[in-house]
Amino acid sequence: MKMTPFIDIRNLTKAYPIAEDGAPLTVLSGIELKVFPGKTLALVGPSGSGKSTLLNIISGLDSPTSGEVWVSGNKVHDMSAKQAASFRNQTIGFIFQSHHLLPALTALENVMIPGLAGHEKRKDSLLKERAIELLKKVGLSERVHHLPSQLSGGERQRVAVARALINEPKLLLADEPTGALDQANAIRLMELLFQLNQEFETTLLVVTHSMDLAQKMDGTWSFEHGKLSQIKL
Amino acid sequence: MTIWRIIFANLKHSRRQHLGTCLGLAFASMVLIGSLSIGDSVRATLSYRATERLGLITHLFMSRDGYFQSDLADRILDSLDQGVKVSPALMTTGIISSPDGKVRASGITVLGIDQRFFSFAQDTESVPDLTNYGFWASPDLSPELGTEVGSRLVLRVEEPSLFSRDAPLSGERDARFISWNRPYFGEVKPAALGNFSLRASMEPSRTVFVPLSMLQQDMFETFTPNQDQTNFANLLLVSGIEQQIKDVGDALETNWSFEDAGLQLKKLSGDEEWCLRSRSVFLPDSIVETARQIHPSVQGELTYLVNAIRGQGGEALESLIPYSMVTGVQPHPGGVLQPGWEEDKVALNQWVANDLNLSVGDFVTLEYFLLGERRELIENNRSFQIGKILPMPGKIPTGQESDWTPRFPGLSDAENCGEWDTGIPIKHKIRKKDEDYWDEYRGTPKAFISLKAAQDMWGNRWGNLTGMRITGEQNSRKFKDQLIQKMSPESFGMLKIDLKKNSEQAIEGPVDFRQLFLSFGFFVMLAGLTLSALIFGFSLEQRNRQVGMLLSLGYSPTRVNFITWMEAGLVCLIGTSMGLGWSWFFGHATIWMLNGAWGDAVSNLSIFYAPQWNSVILGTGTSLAVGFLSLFWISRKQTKSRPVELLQAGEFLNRTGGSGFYPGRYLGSRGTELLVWVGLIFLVINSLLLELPAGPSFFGIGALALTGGMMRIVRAEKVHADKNLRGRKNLLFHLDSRTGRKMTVVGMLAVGTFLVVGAGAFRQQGPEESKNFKSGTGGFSHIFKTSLPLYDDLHSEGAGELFDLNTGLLDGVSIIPVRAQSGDDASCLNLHQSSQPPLYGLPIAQMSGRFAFVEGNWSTLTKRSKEGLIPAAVDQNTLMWSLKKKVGDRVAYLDEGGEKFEVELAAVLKGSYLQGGLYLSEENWIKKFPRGGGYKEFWIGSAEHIDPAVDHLTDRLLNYGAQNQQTLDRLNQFRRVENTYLSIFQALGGMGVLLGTMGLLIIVLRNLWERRKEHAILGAVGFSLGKLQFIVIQENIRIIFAGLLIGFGAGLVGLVPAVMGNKQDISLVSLWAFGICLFIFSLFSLITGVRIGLNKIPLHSLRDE
Repeated sequence: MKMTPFIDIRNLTKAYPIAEDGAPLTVLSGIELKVFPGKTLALVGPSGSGKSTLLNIISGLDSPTSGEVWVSGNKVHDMSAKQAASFRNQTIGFIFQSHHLLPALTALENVMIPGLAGHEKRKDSLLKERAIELLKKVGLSERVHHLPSQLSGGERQRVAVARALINEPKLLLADEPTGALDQANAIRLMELLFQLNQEFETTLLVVTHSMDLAQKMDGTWSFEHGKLSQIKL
Repeated sequence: MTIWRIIFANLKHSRRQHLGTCLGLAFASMVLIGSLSIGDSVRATLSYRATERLGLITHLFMSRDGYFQSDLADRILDSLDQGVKVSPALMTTGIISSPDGKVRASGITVLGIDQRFFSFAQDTESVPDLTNYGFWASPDLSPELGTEVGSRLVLRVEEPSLFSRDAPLSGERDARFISWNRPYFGEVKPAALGNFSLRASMEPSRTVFVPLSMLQQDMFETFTPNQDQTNFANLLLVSGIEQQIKDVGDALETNWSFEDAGLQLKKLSGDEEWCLRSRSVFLPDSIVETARQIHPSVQGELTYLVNAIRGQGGEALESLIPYSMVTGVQPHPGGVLQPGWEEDKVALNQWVANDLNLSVGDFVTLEYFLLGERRELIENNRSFQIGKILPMPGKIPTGQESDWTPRFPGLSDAENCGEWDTGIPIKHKIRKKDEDYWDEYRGTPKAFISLKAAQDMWGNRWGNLTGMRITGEQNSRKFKDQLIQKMSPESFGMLKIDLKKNSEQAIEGPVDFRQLFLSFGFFVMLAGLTLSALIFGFSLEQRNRQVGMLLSLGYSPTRVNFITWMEAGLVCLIGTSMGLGWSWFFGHATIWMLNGAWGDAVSNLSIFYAPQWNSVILGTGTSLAVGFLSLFWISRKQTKSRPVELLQAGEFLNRTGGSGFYPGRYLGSRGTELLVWVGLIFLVINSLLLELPAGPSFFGIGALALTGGMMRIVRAEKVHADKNLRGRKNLLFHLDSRTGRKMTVVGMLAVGTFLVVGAGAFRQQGPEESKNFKSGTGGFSHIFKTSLPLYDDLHSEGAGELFDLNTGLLDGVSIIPVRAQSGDDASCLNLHQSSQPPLYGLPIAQMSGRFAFVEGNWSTLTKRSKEGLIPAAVDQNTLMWSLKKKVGDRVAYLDEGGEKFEVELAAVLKGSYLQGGLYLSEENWIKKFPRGGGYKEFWIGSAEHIDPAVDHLTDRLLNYGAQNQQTLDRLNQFRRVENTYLSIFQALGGMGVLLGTMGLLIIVLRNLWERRKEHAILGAVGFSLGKLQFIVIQENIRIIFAGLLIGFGAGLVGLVPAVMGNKQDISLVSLWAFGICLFIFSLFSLITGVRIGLNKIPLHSLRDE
């Protein structure tokens, strides 16, 4: 039986208009990529090569200049704003290089935030239960009621991971999640991501500069001059 | 957890920034709610005063010039059900003084009342007992008298005349006074109607209360032959609901009697004849007309006193007979004169024919006086041919008068010819035989002429008949019934006035203090809102990444906006609540100022704080809504940005053209700027050509100049910044490229400067001398007023003799007599709305060249209108602010006969002391108020020796209650009001500038925080702290310069039409002084802000890198 790719990118191009009368800057050019459910994939490449842009386009946070992106059978950029918001909320979990936690909320509340986006009705008690469970899973059961300002960098990033998983997304997009962490914390975080991938069969796309991390993934793709090519490590 | 948890957590987390937002909102709502509460307080104070002034009195029936019998009140009450209150009163003007003359109060209201008057009071316990004859004073008059209870005072009033003393044969030239020397019983408390007054005025209520019967006994002695009926009154005070008042009106109609109307149907001594007479001698034309409609055959007669009957030709034994009555009658069958009687024929009685040795066919000349203006006597004569010699009538019994002769004051009651006091000089010798004639025949006419001829000679504005005859008892009774039925009380000058409604309308006031303070405080509100929006905008910018994160987590823009807007709503709620609390202090502080330094704005009325719930709710609701809208406006675009941009750029998103507060971006179009400048030039030219009022021109032109200035600077900033970026010149001074926020503060400073400087420039200085005919004084130095009317030209020989004037002292002094019909003062000194300002009648010929006009001139008042409108002149301030009308508008009045007429506002005086009234030609004035006699006001023109002349007049006319005021003082009273308004405006405008400066401070601090890393790097590469501070001051001082220059420039351009058109005196000293003060203050704020925000090089911020 032929397996359907979870992510299907077809001839994707992204170009940015730049300063007066200059030619557009093409960041992504003719990208073709298929990622199957439950797989882990590393995207590597030099800074400014388009890795984060691709992640943003896959999640619908950014739009392509041309080409198509299909995720879980949905053509991402044909969706209305409301559908796109619902899609991001229910299908995708996003981990940024910076945690982007709300400083006014506790760790628990930050994790619960995606559950309040209003796309599905869920009992507050169930949401809270799952948030606590996720925080426990990321090793922060003792830090549930702490504010971001009271957490270390690694802890904040783990809260962000828990937040990304609260709605049980089928796709986890991580944009240099360890970029702002020291090595020990970076290792711990990646182990956590792999563990979650195993446990929830979540498809994992990670943008990283770390070849060590990339090595542990099911596949590694490299960006060069706007083109994407698979590399063997 | 719900979404509200995020909202409240954000609210708590950003509390410091929100505090700034709340403070801005609190300022705005404080001014808004406070302004409304001040308006409420002024209204409540006026309302309280109205209640005190009128008590329970709702309506008034007033006889304009005549008097009715005071038992009319009883007759009305007898025909009505319980519940309605009616009380008669007698109101006049007088002078009260101590017997030794040391204490003297002129121009006081004398109110004769009976005990029923106090049933209208709220406090009926502490009311005077009017069974004691004496005086009680109003609370305002009492301290002026400074007299102990029990001391004696002398009250003096003018004796009422049967008819106008301006009229011929009205009696002696000098006014006759009635005076009472009675004890003073104290003050009538305000709650006992001590402040009773018919007019809503800011003038103190100076009233002396007197028992009605005490006044009646002495004042009306001459009204009836035997002094047996003196119970006259001129007011009926009524309290009742609408239906009851209607019933009172009906009852008044029913009970209105011949006697109330001053009419009498006198049974004549001869045949079955009755004669209709008026107490005021001459029958008004309206009565004559109605009488003729009822009974066409009624015969009119006009009896007049001639100076002489001079024989011509024949063998006259003596040349003349002095002082005789002559009657004009309608020739009719059976009458004295038969049909076909010619107008140039006279019928003499036998006594005359004998005395002058005349017979039929001879000629006689009748010599008589006519009364010109100001009682000038003009002698005239007319010759008649004798057509008939009449037999002598029967002798007149003692105490009676001829059937042909009405009761002339000073004549009819005279025992002998020596007692005659007719108001005309006796220049012919009265012979023994004349005395004998008087003794036997009294005022029996010595000659009869046709009525037409008599009316041609002696007809006047008071009437053309002295009697109307009707034959037959039945006829006369029917005639009387029909006449009183047809003639309503209104036609006898009885006016119904809805005092309650008038007082409610008056409370609305020409100055709506709500609007006044709202408009004055508008800039503070705008500045507060702008400041709060600015700070909230900063807070939002700082949260760009959070918003990006929420959007990327699948929050819809609507949901994110909901979070932001709910937070904004809560901030507004807190800010408005703070403002609500502060409004209490603002209201109290403002009222404290209004009761003190700003007292001139409220005519020194003591205001109490009385906000109304509806105002508080309205103010709070509006503050909340406007505050929310302003925060909504600045946040509305945040979620329009892509999540990626928000996440990546964070608070620096604006630099790349994302969301944020950028009013300036709409000001950058070259086409729009051009349009504004063209519009500005057009408006300036228009203002000059059309001579638009200085105030509106200033604001109109200023607003365009401000807009143009802002556009210029936005565009210049844009071009400048681009050049610098490309050329890399002077880069350090242009690191801050956030034009929007800078322009916001530039705008706030510019508008504040414009308003404050403008208000300073418009501050008025009064003229230093009054001699200039074209100034606001019209060349008059004094306004001279008397409590009792004068009837003579003060320059005349007669007046000199009458008042013992030193005519030499008055030589060269212009004295313009002014006729006045009372009304509600419409000057800026009256906080009440005036619907009918006083009407003044001026001798136009003597006004030529005086005062400056914005529209028309004095001769405009003599033009005839097609529609019968009467042209009037009005001061421009009264026209615009008090009456809220324009040239060509009309004001309705009732004339003396109760007929409506309209006055057209045709001429407009430029800033004069004539505020408050409407000015007609004396000729027009007299047409409408023919019975209004005498002058109580004189305008005295400047001359070198003016002060001794005015002092002399005041001294000589002390008994008439003479007072004078300098026209410059009067003008200064008005100017103080205007200047006080400007002070209030400046104070609130200054508060706005303060907020603008706070905006500058906040922007400086914010920029310093945002650019801390830049400063750290510059510090790290060797820039000293002082150098960095200097750079920041250099960057931001341009904001101050720009704001002040635009504001100052707009102010100057706005003043161009006023300066060039000479419409306004501009104080350039104030203009510069305010400009310099504002610059120093703003610079100080900037330096303080920089020293606080950059007190050391922020090297620690580099660690984040």
